[in-house]
Amino acid sequence: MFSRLSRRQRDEFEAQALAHLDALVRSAMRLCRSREEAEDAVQETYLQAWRYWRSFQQGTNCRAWLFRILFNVIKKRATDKQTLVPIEETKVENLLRFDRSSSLDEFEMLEVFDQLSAEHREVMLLVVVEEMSYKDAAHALEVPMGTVMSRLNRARTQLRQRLGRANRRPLISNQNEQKFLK
Amino acid sequence: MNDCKSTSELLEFYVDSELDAVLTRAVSEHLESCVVCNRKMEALRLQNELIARAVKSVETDNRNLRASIEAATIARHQRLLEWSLPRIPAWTVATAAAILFISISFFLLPNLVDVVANPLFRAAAENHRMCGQQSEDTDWARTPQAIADVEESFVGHNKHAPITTEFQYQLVRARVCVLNGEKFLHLIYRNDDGNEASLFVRRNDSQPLDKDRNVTADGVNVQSSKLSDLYVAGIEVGPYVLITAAQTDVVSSRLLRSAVARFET
Repeated sequence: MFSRLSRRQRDEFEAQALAHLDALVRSAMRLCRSREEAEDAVQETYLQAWRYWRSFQQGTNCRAWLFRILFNVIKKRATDKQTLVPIEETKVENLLRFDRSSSLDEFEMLEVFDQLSAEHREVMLLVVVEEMSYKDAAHALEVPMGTVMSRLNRARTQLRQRLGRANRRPLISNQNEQKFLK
Repeated sequence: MNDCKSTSELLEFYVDSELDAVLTRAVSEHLESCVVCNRKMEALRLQNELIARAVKSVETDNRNLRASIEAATIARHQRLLEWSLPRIPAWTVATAAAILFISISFFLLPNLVDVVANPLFRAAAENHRMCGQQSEDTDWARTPQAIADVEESFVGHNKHAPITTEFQYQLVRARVCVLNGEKFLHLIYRNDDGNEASLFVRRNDSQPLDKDRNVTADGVNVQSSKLSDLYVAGIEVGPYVLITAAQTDVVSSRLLRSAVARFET
């Protein structure tokens, strides 16, 4: 399965596509059950991107295109394996993969963030974390711009509500806190 | 714009920098004079910052993943290009190509990719092809304990190859084999459809991988090649050399990645 790409196309792939590896991984980690699943999804994303690199129109938004492939890969895997992410499992994973230098505020936010629905997490990752425009986010999600706006609004509302609830109870159990703080 | 209700409706777009210049200026002017709306805007902005910071604070060391992706995409292509299109003028390449076309028979052309691969890879591919026919040999370790014993005697007590890998491939047997004059631990993985993939492991204390053709990716040397019907990938991890062979590039590269995770120090 050799892609017949020219040296120039190969260089463009390296410079434009691989530059977004970190962004794709951190987004995939917020949508998958484990880091391993996230890395698999990202690897499959890049294999597909490589296969169709010739059809990618230079000058258009490569990052949005990659995210579009990534989200489709994750959705397809979830459908194939019936492994939609149970909320409780993501919490444990997050505890393990959270950077120990981070503050508990960030940890709490991450935990609440992971409780949002997948489509709300997707739009927040694109617009808030990756700072994409609504137009590019709409392209990545394959939805109209109006849908991006409404999803974003609902996601923010839910996040506010959940954070409000979270502030009234301890977010981290003692056992998990110990694991996190070790 | 003096209306708090109108401003509130635009705050999200304002924070996301989605308003045009006129509306941006109008909202800014209102925010300067309205403490309530200004607080709402600050709360939104803080929430955005916290989310972004939280998501970005998760540990992401992607060197192995990047190496694996490069092995499956750019690196393989790069070696082919380097072999066939060195940095010399186009007319020289064309002349050389014409001479090659005349001098090399059509029979040899399909094997050109084999020339690119290093001898260790060719030996690994050949060994993988043969292992199907030799699956009934008595020297294979087949039980988990027997496989673990072979592993420990060959690569040491604290390193074990993955038991399962992607696409439901399971470790089914192992033995010591010889590739290119060097002893390797040969582990066979099989999925439910009967497809097999090979992992070869040896301590890297003698003949290294072909350095001339290595691709350096963040300090990790990865090679991969397509040898007729097989995809072979190899990597040096600390004191170990790991080589995988499978019928698809995805299985080969993922098996390699699983093995790297087990053998890296």
